[in-house]
Amino acid sequence: MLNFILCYIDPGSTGFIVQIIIGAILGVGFFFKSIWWRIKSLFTKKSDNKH
Amino acid sequence: MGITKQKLNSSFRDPDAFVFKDEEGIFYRQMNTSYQSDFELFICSGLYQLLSKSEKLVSHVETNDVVFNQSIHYKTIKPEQLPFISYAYEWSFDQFKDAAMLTLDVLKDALDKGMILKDATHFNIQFLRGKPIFIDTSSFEKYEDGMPWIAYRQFCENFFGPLLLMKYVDPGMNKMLQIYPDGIPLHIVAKALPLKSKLNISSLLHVHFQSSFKGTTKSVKKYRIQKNRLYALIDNLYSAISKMKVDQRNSTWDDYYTDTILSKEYLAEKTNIINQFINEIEIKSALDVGTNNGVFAQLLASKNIDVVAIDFDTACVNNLYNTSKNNKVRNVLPLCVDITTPTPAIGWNNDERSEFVHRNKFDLTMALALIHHLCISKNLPFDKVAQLFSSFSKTLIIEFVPKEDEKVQLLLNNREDIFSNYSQQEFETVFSNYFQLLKKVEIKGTGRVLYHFGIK
Repeated sequence: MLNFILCYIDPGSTGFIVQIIIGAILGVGFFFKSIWWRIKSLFTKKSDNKH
Repeated sequence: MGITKQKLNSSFRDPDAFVFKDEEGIFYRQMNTSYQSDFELFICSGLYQLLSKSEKLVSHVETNDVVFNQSIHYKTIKPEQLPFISYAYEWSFDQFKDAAMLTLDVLKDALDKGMILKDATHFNIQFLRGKPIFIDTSSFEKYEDGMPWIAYRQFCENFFGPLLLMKYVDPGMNKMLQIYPDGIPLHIVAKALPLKSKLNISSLLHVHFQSSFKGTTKSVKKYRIQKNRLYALIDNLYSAISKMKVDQRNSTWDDYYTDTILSKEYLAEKTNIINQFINEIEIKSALDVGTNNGVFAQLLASKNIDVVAIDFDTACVNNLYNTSKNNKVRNVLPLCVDITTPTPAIGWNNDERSEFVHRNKFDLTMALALIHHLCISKNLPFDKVAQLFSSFSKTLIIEFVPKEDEKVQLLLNNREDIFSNYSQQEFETVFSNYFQLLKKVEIKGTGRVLYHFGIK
């Protein structure tokens, strides 16, 4: 009976739930990383303009 | 019409499109009516332009007059033709890593343009001009706000998991994809990884954490993830993969040429002779069997020959991939293939992904300093070797290494010499059953002989 049920379980279905949890965890760090990128790109652009 | 077109055995899962070839062996992709709106968006959003210009995706031209199945036909495209087909279980670590990063790159570009990848199988990647390239033009669909990446787990099982196994366990672990072509199940990856892999946040989350979740029969379609969190997920996978390295210093062949007393003069002489041989015939493609550090594969490449260079030693293949990449040599495809047990055909009907020996055709096969390994280490009779090599190409360059050679003696050091048939005369007799001798030249002072054969 158990094996029968397992055949109908889509292992990919956990990918949805898991990525929402992992996305939430990583989202915090990514938020700060994005700010850092923006600051960095401002300076890079400025130095590019000088040339 | 009289034209026989053949649907590819590996192209039947996607209802939106499939690949077929015409009688001349040209490959096309038919897009079906079900894919019309996504394909229009793919072109109109500028995603195709962006990906093909940067050589991340194979470029194509529309050839709507070539149709395979009229009733569902929307468009036909003729993609740039690939000289060789290879599979992820034949790639070295850095090839695999570059292929994984390319997949994420393509996904990021797609998201920027309002689309997303609907699958993330390693079969979507091939190598062209020394770099991985995405080949599945019908893998893109419209991104709806909040939709999760449907292929996230597939990516982890196809790329991230295998890469972790290659890094932590052994660089040859991607061979497991032959058994699990749809991706190595994460619970197996998690079990095989050492405890220290849990200290890495990416492997902890994407593999260990994810594998602890069992699948469900309940519908998960209602779940939503913010786009910036999706970017965070992709960014984390990308940066984890880009930092991955393997320690491959202990290669079998690393010091082969530097250690041997034959070294410099031997290499120079051998190069001269091979140059003579290949200048006499027109060759466009070649297979270098037992390529070692790839010196001779690169020699062929320098003559504008497309080369597939194989070796069982993953470190050699990885080094050759990296040196070719650094030196911008774009026509060498190094692959981890053991010629004594080449990649089998796998998948549905054992016909979905082809076996190595019948997959690609070459103008030339080259087997240098290999015969003694095949015949003495692996007990293969000359006849078996000649037969296989004659099936690869019209011409063969092969080096005979006599029994008195120091390398052969090394092989015989710890085993009984049961190889009374291993002689130059016997070699010539057996090979003449399959080939005609075009030229033979002795490499001065070594006793080794280079043969140039043509097929009978």
